[in-house]
Amino acid sequence: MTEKDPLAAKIDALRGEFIGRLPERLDRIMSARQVVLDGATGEAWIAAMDILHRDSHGLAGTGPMFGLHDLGVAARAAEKIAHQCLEANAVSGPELMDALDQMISAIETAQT
Amino acid sequence: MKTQRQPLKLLIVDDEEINMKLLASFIDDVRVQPLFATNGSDALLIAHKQHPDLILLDVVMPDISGYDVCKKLKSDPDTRDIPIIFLTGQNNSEAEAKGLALGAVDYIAKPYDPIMVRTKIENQFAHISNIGQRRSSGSTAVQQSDQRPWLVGGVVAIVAIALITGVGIFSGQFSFTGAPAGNVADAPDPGPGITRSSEQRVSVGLAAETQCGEFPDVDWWTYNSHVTVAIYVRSNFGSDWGAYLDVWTERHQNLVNLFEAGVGARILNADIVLSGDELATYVDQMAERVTIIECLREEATLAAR
Repeated sequence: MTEKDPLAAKIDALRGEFIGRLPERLDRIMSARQVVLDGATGEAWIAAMDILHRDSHGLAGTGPMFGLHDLGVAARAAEKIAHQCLEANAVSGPELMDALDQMISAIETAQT
Repeated sequence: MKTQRQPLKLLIVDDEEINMKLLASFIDDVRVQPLFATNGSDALLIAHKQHPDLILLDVVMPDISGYDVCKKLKSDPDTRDIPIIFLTGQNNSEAEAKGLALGAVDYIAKPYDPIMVRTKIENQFAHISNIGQRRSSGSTAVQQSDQRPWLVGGVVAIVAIALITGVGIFSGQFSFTGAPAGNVADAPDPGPGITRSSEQRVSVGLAAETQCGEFPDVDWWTYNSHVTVAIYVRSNFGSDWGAYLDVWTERHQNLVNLFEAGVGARILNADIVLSGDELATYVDQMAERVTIIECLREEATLAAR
């Protein structure tokens, strides 16, 4: 039996921690998604979009570091559309919801 | 100056706690003391109190962006010499160039490669050591690297090559009087063809003399002089001014569309939303920039003949 590389062991432990916190992040994303879906405007819309943008950004950057490449791709797509919506200060269309749904699905898969 | 017994302080700034832990695990070494901040405000406080030897700085954060943190640190004499490496999930050359132009020495893209991260950090620490050794010995010669106590197992560092990134492009072509070479953000951007010599203009592919006007003074535009724009075009568009013009033409058109639609435009770099008269002014400034880029393209094309 070979001894595990200490760095690999640390990364494994952090991967477990990352995945363990996904439910909390998923809840936050679902809540923000619902706010947008309900037609929020003004500050409420910006706050919800900020959450979606930041969480998708975080997942896009961190997911692939723990081997969750599908999550990274889905989150990057959601981040891009959320960014565009924020930049244009525009009400989001079906593209955002589609991208969010794919990201949510990838989060759920990563937890299993 | 640091001695070998003093740990080197590494400030890691990232709003994702897991990322900070991951980075710290890469550089797990008793001779490096990691410091942590989860937002830009804390990063500024710690930088002033602790004077870290190196900062790893995330770009997208909830309160102050990494770019703004960098600007503040570089504009303060107390912290301007602290080297900064940007951590970014924005894998595009424009984001990279922007960070470097603000005074960062390097950037690390997510997802991180542990060996690359360690090598870049060690390069910076080696650079700090070499500067310290030169100062203490009074010699201008770069010292050898065998006194680097923080080198960790199995990683070969490229010694004394701190400017292995795009920063080298800046320092290699020209330097700003009174400013550290390679640190564009430390120097005032003097505008087109005013204080830049003809030699500097020619060295970056511009015409020695110009009839193109000055770029409008917009806070969140990183490249505001003919020379810095020319360097950017060369580094990121292979000197294809047409491609660069297309990018800005498209940006301008998008802005016009937003204005005509009566909605605001959120400027993420500056974290502001422009609408109404402010947006109209920005549309005009953008149009002016496009015109100047077009003019520079024509002059550069003539100069190349």
